Amino acid sequence: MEAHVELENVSKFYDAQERLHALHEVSFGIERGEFVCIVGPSGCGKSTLLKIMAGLDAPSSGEVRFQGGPVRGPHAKISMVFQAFGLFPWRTALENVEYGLEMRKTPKEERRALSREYLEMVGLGGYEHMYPKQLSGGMKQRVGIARALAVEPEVVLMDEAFSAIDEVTADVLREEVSEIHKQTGKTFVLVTHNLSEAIELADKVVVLSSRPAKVKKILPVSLERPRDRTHSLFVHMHKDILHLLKEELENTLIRHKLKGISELQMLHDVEAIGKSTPAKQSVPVTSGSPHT
Amino acid sequence: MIPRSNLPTFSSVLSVFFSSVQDTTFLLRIAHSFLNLTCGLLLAFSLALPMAFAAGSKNRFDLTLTPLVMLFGALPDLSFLPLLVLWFGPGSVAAIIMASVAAFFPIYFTVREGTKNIPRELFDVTSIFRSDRFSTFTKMVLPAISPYMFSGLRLAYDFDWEIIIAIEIATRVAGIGSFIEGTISTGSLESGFAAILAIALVAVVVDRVFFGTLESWARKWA
Repeated sequence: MEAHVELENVSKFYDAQERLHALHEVSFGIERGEFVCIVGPSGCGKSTLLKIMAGLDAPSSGEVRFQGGPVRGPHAKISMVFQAFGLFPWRTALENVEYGLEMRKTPKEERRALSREYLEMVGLGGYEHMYPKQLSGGMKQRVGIARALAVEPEVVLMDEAFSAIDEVTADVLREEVSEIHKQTGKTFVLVTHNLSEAIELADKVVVLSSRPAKVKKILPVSLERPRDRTHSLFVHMHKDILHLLKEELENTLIRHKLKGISELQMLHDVEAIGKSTPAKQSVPVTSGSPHT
Repeated sequence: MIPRSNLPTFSSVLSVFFSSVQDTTFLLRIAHSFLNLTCGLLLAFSLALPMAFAAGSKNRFDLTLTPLVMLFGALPDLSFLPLLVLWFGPGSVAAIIMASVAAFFPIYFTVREGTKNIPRELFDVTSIFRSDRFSTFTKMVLPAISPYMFSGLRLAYDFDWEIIIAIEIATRVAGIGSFIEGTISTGSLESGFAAILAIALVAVVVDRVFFGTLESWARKWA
């Protein structure tokens, strides 16, 4: 049986000349109802990977399949939560949640009622008529989550959804997202650089390598929920992933160094040529001077 | 320093003002100027908005359009006036074209800036929820650039009063500007000041009512 979401050899180049290599043959599957966290060194292309899964960006080669069919452009059953919340400041909380339904031509009364329900689900009942500027970061992201859920997706993609929120609020919100995941049974994919967050939420953690990103390791998390960050297994896993990422970071550093050395060598060569040419030219000039 | 005959008293200006506003031709002159101004503003808006949006969203358009617009903007607008009068005669057509030329730049540059400042993420949001091009424009781009657009329109409106009056004084046709110009021959300073007072009143009321409403909407959320 095929997975709910399947990535097969997804590669991405940022440029037509294929020099800026972001993703290299990334393959893994996500089961229905699974919570998957994708971690990797910063700038490795994990957000690009999520965008490809969302259909916001096309892979250079390879394929993302949702329920067996290839993803070509945004899908009605795949929704997204954004890092900077992505709210429309001219719309109230309720109107923001309504947006997705509005685009589906859901009748006004129905979408209003549904949006109200989802706002209450994320604990924002009573804040319907507030504008985003009147809400705190955590509350804004709650609106973002409600908006993503209101269109009743099967897959919820989250791009660094907790990283623009203060730590305490983020902690509460993570617990709530975990609860929503449990209750709705939807498939969740979260891209993050926060390892504790990944281990706390995920059924499995996908560790990506530095650019071009490849799947370095896939680690299932079998800890019972709610998860205790001080649990020895939790700590152990954190250490393991951190080690993997540090290894990647060192690889990059070494690569940079090697590149630096080769560049230095090239510079030497150029200088050597530069030196040899004027030396030849200076022969006639110096020929008049006494050689001793 | 200034002889009393050159500077009318405030009360005499007021009395001329009140008798003037009961005069239909005086009111029609103001309406005429205001109509020309509005037409010029709308013409500029309908041209500048799509161009500015194109320049703000695609670098390629920006690189070709903006230098051209800047080149035209650097020229003193009124220098075109004699040519326009030569082509279209000293009537409303020349005035409307002149007003739209003057209004074009503030609208173009503010809307272009506004478009450039739309966060990329918001485009992703419209894509994820599968908005078509039309709703993306009306429900996302337009509200996002509206605060910029409003200040552009307001600037253009202020510019255009100057331009319209200058044209009417120069070409001596219709409008309230030519009425003011007429005071040179009649020597009636009171009616000149009364006309200026009437212009100020219209300008301020429109500014408060129209732009005030737009901006208070934007202030609610921006």
